[in-house]
Amino acid sequence: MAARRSLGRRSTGIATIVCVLLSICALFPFFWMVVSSMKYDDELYRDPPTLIPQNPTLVKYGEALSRGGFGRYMLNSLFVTGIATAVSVVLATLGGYAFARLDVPGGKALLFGILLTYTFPGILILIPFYFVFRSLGLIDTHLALVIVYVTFTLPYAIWTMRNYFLQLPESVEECAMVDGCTRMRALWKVILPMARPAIAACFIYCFVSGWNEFMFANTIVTKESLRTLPIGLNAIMGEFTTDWGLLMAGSVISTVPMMALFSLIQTNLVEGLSAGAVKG
Amino acid sequence: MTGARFQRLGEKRSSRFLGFWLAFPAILCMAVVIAYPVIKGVAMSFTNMNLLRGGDGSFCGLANYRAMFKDPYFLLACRNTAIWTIANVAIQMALGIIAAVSLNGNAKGQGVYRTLIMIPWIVPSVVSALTWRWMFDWSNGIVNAALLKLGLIAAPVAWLGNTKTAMPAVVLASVWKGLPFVTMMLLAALQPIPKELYEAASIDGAGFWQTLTRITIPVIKRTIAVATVLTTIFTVNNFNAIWLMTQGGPLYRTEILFTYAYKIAFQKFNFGLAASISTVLFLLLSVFGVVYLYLMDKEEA
Repeated sequence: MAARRSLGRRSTGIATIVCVLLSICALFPFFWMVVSSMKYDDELYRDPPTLIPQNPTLVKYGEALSRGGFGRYMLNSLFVTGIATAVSVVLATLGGYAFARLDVPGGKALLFGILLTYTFPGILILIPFYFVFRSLGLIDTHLALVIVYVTFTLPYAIWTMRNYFLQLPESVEECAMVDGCTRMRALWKVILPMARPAIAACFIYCFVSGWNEFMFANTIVTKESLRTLPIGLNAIMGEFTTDWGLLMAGSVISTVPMMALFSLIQTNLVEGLSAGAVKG
Repeated sequence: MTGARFQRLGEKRSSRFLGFWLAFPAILCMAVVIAYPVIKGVAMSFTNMNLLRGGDGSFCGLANYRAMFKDPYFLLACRNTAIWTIANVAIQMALGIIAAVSLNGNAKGQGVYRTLIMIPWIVPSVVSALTWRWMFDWSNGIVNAALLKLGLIAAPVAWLGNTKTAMPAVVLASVWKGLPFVTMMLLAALQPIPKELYEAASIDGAGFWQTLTRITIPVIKRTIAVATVLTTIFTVNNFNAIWLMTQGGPLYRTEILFTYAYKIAFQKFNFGLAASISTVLFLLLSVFGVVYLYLMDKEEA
């Protein structure tokens, strides 16, 4: 018995050590990014490097926003990603509902075809699209990026919504429809409030995808005033020298909205879940 | 009777009508932005579309494919894609299982560890690649500074510029970024396993290894399969990690098919050849795509 208990204790001990090690590995590059963004150049390039800035400063952040143009890039990213996410979530909600509850021509084959596109290599789409966008005059526009981001996030978003709708009991809408609601009204008034956790999950997925996208933006957008954050960051990388402090400050600026989004959605997720469960 | 039938018929028709119109915008979007370019891209691989050498996009049969299979850099890119993918998937799955099992245990402060382990997932992929590039920097990077101090290397190493170390370095950065997703997927599958099952196994004298191979892995094996296929697809498609750290260099040592196709298209402007490389990539990914669909279909049943 004692041996067995010590075995349990030992495995808990090992699990704790693994958790601590993984946490340190996960945290360190992020920590180093923040630390590097808060040093003056003489300290940043000192040998050996200091683990904590001796003379912490936000001077690189000021530079990123003024000289680096990161205020502009941030607005561009928010605009493109925000619109693409909104459109994608709406289309995925409607489409997901149709696949879960209604009779869509093509049905299951179409649904699996949609999922298959999720695995397609972006480069095979980018090459012909470059010509299409060129002939339509969409090179150097945010519209081109919105179109691409909406479409690329749809397959996964539709599946998420559909799977969530399938879990909801069909009696929910039936009750509302017996009470005289049309199906659309039942969807709007009854189903959507219950689907908030799935909508939140789709929202996160679409937003993160757009926020991170580099290849299409880098190819389609050449004008500096239209750059999104990933393009702005990459532009700091010089051929011979790189202002690493500026780059790390820009990196922190690009990461903060993601962290804000996650903390925000997490509370909404819980709220949405409980509200849906009690009232449903 | 007739009334009810009429009503049901009407309901069916309205369900079809509404179903079509609700799904239509999404499907239209995907038909125009995914299906059409894919067909066009495959068609382009049979043309001599080349903006530098005056190729006008006329049909040239299998010329691009013939040129491709004679191109030593293409063959190198195939080999690199295999190494890159196998290394990434094997390491992420192994570490992911270890991480998920540890996070599912009784360690104190689970919530804190779970949050910290998610950090790489929240960091944008461009930020991750450029931060690792800074850490791997030859003259001022923390990796060299730490290893020199520990006496593990005698002189600074140009991790991303050396033909021997570039691939391991980009794999390390990409594992860092990809691990949280795998861990969370596996952890979500582990959580419903009742604790009593582990207790019963422990009373029967099962050790850690037996518990892992007899209970944990069999229960989550479908999730392991899905995570493996998804990680494979993501890794083959992971342009950002390689392009932003090495651009496929040094001397094509980290060039994968994806980055090579991009380079041929947008730096050499040989779109016909680039389209045929992309088509090969597409066929390769379709294999994994079909496995993925098969797994999802089994889940449906």
